[in-house]
Amino acid sequence: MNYLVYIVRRLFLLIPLLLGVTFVVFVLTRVVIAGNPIDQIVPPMASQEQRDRLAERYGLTDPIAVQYLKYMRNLVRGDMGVSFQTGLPVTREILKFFPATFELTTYAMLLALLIGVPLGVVAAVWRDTWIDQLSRFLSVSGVSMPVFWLSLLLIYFFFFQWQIAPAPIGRINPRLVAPDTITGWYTIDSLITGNWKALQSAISVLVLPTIALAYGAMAPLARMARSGMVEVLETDYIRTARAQGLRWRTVVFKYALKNALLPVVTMTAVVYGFLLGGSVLVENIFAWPGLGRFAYNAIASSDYTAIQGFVLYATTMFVVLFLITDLIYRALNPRIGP
Amino acid sequence: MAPPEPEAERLSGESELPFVPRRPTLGQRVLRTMRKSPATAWGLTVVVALIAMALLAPVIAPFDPYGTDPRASLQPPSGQHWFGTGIFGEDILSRVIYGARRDLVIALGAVSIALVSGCLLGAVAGYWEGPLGEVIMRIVELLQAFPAFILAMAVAGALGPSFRNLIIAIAITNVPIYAHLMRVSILSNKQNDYAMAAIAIGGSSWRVLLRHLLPNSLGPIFIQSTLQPGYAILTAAGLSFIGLGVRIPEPEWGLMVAMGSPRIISGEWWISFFPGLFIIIAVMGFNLIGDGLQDIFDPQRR
Repeated sequence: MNYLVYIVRRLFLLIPLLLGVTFVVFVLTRVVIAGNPIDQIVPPMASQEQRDRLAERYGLTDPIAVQYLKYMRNLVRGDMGVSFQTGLPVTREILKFFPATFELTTYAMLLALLIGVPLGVVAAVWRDTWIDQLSRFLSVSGVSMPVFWLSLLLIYFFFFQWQIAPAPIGRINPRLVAPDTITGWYTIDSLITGNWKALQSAISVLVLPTIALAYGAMAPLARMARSGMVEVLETDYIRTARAQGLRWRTVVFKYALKNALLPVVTMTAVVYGFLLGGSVLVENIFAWPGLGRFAYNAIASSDYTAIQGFVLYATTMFVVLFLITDLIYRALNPRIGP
Repeated sequence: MAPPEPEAERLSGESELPFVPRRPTLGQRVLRTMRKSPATAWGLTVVVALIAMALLAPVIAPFDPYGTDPRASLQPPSGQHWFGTGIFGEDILSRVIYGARRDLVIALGAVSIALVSGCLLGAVAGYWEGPLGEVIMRIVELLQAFPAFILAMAVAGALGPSFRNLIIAIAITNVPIYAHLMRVSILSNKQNDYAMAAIAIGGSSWRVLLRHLLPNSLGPIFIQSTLQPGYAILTAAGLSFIGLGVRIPEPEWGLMVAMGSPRIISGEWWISFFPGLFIIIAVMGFNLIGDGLQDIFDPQRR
């Protein structure tokens, strides 16, 4: 019950935060913004009259306070405005591109967790051995390597040199028909519909961008797992367990691991934020039709309603995920009650 | 019998005055740090070498970084062009060398701006805990609600792509970390006797804050500030890669990787490879220094 009250309170605290976020985004994309978005949609020969008419239609002539109120009113209704580029509602565009990004970033997150966490744990258990050095090397290179450069390198080797990966052409081989939309994830949809060809293609194009994104995400997770484990292994309760003659393996994997991995839970939200940022770079390289590419195109044409939509969406996702991981952390850790 | 070590003699001499360690000079401390942590030494060497490369660019670059030569287009690395040439026949090595100027200035510029503004905000918020401090910290937290790269993207996108705006965008994403560190530091230092004394003898608030509290709170911030340039370089390169930073033909590492990216599927790897390699070297250099210093000054970390 207590916990439920805590959740509700946290959800209420989310409201002012998101209001602030929308305000910052509004200021950035309407007040600070350089260049007139109208210039992007009218032909260079358009008359001033035509420009004015368009500006009026998009509400750009209103006083800034009125623009903000209108914007907030629409936002509450889930209306983020119309993209200058495509003329379609931004909300619909985001929903359309969302599954591709969600699929890619989730697989990258899973891969990063599956490799990073065990690596960190093993490095902590066998401290200062070769495995610790390897883990350190992977972490250091992971945080130092630009994700776009790694993507290009992967394409060079796996596609150009060894020809074992497909060309960076999006979510599926263009000669195949995309699987029927159920979840929006190509891998799952093709599995459900038994479309094996599509499944194979969807998996094969996922491999390189997933590795590229996961490599950088793995580093902080491995680091967190290692330092958590090192800390726990030196606590009194572990020493007691050892002194009582329990097997080393039992102590490490049954008693220490649970507590060591707690900080990793909160880290996942931070890492997911990093993946959302990275998706802008990676999707662009792999022609991945997701939100990152959508954002890239929006930037290239100063389509501010679209940029706004993307930033709002990504930040909301980040904030909500942060809340969820924090709640899980608290649920798992009885020492800090709500 | 060998004569006793002077150190041991001093330590064991009970009748003498209590052993007072000589305060090591800055040079000695740096040297000791280097010996204790070879990684820090490596990091420092790399960063110093990159700075030297940036300063000496006109002397060491074999070609004009803006020079083009259509006849020498897309040549692989050779004796004449060590890092090969790009699509316009530009010499990649010379551009990489000049690129150090752009990227180091962006990284150090952004971190310095963030350091100064973040520290001031944090100091004010820590000193005047009331509504003023609350407002400042709420704004700082708001900035942290955004994923860092996406905030930088939004700011750089709004301001328009340019060298200056790139620095501003990255600085903004770095402000919160300094503001938080400084606030916590001031909050704890404020309780110390020396701060109380400074207030008691009638020092004005700003004087106490700037002369007494600020200098004593800079320790942890200094260490953090050695870690940030690495991230700043990565962010800058990423923003330039998607066209939100400096513009072609400026030699900037991220942009140079972007210029080579359409060529990767036809096998011309060198255009993107070498600038990217230097991004890694620079980021690693800064990170090694930061990590090493944290290890040394924060015994909690292992």
